[in-house]
Amino acid sequence: MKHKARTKALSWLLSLALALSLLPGMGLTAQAANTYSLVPAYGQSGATYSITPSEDTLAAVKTALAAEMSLDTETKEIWLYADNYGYVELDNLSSTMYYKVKSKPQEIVAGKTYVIGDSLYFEADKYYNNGAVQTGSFIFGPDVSKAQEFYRFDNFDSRWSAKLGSIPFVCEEPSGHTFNSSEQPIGFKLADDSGDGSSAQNYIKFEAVYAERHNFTYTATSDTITATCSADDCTLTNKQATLTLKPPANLVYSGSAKEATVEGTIPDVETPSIKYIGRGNTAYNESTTAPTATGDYTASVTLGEKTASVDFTIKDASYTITIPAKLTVENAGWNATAGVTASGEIAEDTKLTVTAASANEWALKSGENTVSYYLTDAEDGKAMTAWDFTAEELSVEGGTSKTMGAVVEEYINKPAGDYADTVTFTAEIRSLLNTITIDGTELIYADGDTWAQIVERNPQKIRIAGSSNNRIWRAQDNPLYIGGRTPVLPTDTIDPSLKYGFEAD
Amino acid sequence: MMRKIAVYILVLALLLTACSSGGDTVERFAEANPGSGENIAIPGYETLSLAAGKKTQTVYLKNPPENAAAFVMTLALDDGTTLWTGEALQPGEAFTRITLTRTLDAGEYPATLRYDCYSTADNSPLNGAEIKLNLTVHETD
Repeated sequence: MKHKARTKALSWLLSLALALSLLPGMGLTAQAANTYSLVPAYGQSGATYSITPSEDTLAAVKTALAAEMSLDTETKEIWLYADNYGYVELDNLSSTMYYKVKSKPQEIVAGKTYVIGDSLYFEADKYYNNGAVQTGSFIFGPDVSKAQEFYRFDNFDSRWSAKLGSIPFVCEEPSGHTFNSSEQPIGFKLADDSGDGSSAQNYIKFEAVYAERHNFTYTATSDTITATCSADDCTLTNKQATLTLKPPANLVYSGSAKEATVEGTIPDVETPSIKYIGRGNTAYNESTTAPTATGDYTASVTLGEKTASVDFTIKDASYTITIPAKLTVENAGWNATAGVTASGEIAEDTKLTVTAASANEWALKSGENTVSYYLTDAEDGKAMTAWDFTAEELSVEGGTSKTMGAVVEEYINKPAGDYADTVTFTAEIRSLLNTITIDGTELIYADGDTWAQIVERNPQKIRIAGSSNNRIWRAQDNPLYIGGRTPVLPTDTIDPSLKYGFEAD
Repeated sequence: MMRKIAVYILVLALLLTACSSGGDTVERFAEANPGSGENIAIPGYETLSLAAGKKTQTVYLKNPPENAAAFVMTLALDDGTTLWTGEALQPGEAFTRITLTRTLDAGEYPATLRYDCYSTADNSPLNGAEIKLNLTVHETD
């Protein structure tokens, strides 16, 4: 139902765009290069948009509207796309239609009723229709001189038609909040999308999103940068906001980059990039690329010429396993031991496996006489020879113990003697990562990874979606077909039983 | 003068603490404090760093003081080549320098550090352990 509603809304948007592009006399307002950002997306109730022309903000918008729009980080263009199947590839020219959209930053005034096209509108200067690139433009809304008039559509089928209508566009103050002099509206969010444009009485209601205006000065102590606002009516606690630099969570060498993180945000201030440099005998020139090799490093962030830093050391894995010195047999059947314990530090994507091997093929021997036994993890457990420990289990204070005991065969009728065996426990750190080869490209992944995680694990190898990316397609074993194959989504988890293939740009 | 004497005494004490065994150097890092002897704590490593082209290597291979077992350690490449076998190492002691049977070129080598364990009470054999690791052999100046 939700999907249908969204499709309907998208179709409406699509239809409006097409129809208006045919209307004579529709002018275009020139847009500055970076004045994208205000992008209404119908059917995305609660989505928030910012008019701040920064890439970060656009990335946030992209996240909120992942299904409807995308940001091309190379061209800085927002792409809005629509398709009756729900999900489409952005440049799949053969099966869908999409638009490059520019929007215009707006001054939103609380309480004012806007008409789409009066001051809130966006426009497209290029779109694709069934593989053909169309040039031209349309305005989403009426001519400014025709306030209260709105072009709407009566049906959402493939027949594009438009009528003049009147749909008030209301931007209200957020409930329970009154703007003060230190605040500025920065955009709007959809507050009520009950109107679908199918009737002149329906309306689409938006609510202003506001932000405070701040005038920050910065100080830094150790790992923290503090921004202090000088505005009299600043509502920040103590008029301050902080950024705190945290070292990488797991500092055991794993071959992958160890990235520090920044906790906290400063309103309307872009979080600075983290820089890394080697410390002491570690040679590593200053870089925004996080280090992978063992050694001593310093990570830092700088804001307003104030720098916070944190030192960290990437080290090799080390651990301790505690094994039973002897397996004492007191009776036939279950004989408990103190178990096997592991503690220490290993990399996140690894596990420690402890395997047991018997010198006498799982028999206690006295001369030529034998009493067989096996190791297990419970009184009624099956024979086992391996115990796995996760990185998290090792890091617990004192380590983690796993039950181990010997189940011994009935030996009442065996000849008397000293029966003995020696068990050797072998410990090995093993990777939790698997590999999959797609069209000759080997990728690593962990069980349960989403494709977004796999993209992160395999930098420079694949990306999903976007105008210059390789895209991954799953072969024809899914009921949803688009062009004969189904594209994976970033949120899809990998299924090694499926066959995947790349679709080149 | 008194300061010089103090330095000599300190150096002498260090020399007495460290002793050589079969070309290896053993240092006591803690007093033995054996527990019940029910368990044995085995130090594990993912990587051991060695110097290329040298038989004498600086390491730190220890026997935790809480053990009631002596370790006889053997380092072997996965191709079966034994690189080193140490004398029995008591709880609270560590090898800090060992002498390999052969030199290694720079590179990565899969290897196993084997622990044969013996009771400190009666020298009887106990369960043992093996640690699978990588030898990272670095070029030296």
